[in-house]
Amino acid sequence: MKKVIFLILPFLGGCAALHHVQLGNLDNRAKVNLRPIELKVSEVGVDLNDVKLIAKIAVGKEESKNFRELTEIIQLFQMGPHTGAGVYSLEFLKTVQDTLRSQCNNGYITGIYSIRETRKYPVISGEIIKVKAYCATVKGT
Amino acid sequence: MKKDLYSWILVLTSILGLNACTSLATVSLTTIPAQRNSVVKAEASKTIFLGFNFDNDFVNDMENQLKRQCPNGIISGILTKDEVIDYFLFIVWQHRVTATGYCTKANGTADQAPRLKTDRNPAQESDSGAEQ
Amino acid sequence: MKTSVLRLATATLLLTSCTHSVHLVNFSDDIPLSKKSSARPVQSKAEQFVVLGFATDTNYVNQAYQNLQSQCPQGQIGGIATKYYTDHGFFSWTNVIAMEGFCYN
Repeated sequence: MKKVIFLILPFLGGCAALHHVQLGNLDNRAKVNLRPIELKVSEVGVDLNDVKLIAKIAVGKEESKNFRELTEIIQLFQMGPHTGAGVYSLEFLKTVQDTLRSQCNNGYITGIYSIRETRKYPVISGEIIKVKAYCATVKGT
Repeated sequence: MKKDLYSWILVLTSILGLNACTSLATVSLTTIPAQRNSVVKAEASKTIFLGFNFDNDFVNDMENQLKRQCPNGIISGILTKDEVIDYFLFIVWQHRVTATGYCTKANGTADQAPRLKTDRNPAQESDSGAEQ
Repeated sequence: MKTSVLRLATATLLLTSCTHSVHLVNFSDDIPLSKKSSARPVQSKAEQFVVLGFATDTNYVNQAYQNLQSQCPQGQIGGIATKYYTDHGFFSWTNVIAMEGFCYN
C-alpha cells in the first residue's frame, strides 16, 4: 500500500522551478505597434536521484542495491554544475535566436523576457527556455 | 600508514581551500557600441560565512560606480558576471559581481548619441529603446 | 545471463551518459529595422575545462566577449544571444559561453 501511495503521489502534480529570468528594454511609445511573439524550446532531462528513489520503493532490496550502484556509476560521468536535470542533447538551443527573429521580419524585437525554468516530474523533467517579446512596428508604415 | 593518509588528506583539503575555486553563476551582455575607446568597470563583492547572508545590497552601488566613470555619456556593451568564489569547502565564500562596459559620449559623433529631431522615425534609431 | 545483461546495459548507458546543463539564455536589444538587411551575423564561443572543481577564474567569458568584438571592429553589435551551459563528464566538466549577434554600421 505504501509503495502504491509513493508511486501515485508524484503524478498528482509537477513542480516548476525558476532558474533565471531576464527582462530587456521595452519600447512602449505611442507611435509603436506591439505584436506579442513567443518562443518555447525544451528538452527532456533525466534525474538519476529519482531513479534511485523509485527503485528503492518499487523493487526488492537486492535489485535496488544493484540499481543504486549502477546509477551512482553513471552519475560519476555526469559531474559538474547542474541547473535542473542534465539533458542529453543541446540541439534545442541552436535555433532559439533564429526562430525568434523569424517571427519579426518587418519590425524590431523589444521587451524581451526570457526565462529558464524546469518542469519536474518523476525521473524526467522538462528543461525549458521560454522567450516572450514584442515585434515592434511604427504605426503608419 | 593511517597517519600518512590523514596528513595527505589534510594537505589536499588545504590546497583545495587555498585554491579559491571560482564558478560562474550568471552572465549577461548588452548591445556593444562601435566606439570602444573608453572602458568603464564596476565591481562589488561580499564574503559570506556559513551561508549567513541577510541582504544583497552590495550590488546597489554598481550603477553609481558606472555613472561616475561616464558622466553625460551612454554606457553600453555591459558584460555582467556574477561569480561565486569558494575559499574553504563552502564554509567561507565570496560573491563577486563585475560589470565592464564602454562609455560613449553624447556629442553626436558616436553611433548611439541620441538625435535631437522631434519627428524622428523610431525604427531608424540605433538604440531602439532610446527616448529623448 | 542476468549479470551479462546488466553489464551490457551499464556499458550502453555509460557510453551515452554524458549530459549537458543549460544555465541561462539571455538576449540583448534587437538591431534597428533599417540595419537588418545590412547586418551580418557574428559569433564567438569560449570554454573552460574544469577538473574536480579546480577553476581559479572565469576569464573565458571575457575571452568570448573580446572575440565577439574583434569580429566587428568598426561597427555595433546588437541582437546578442548569450548562452551559458556546461558539458558534464567523468570527474570533470566544460563550461561554455556562446555569444551570437549581428554586426552593423
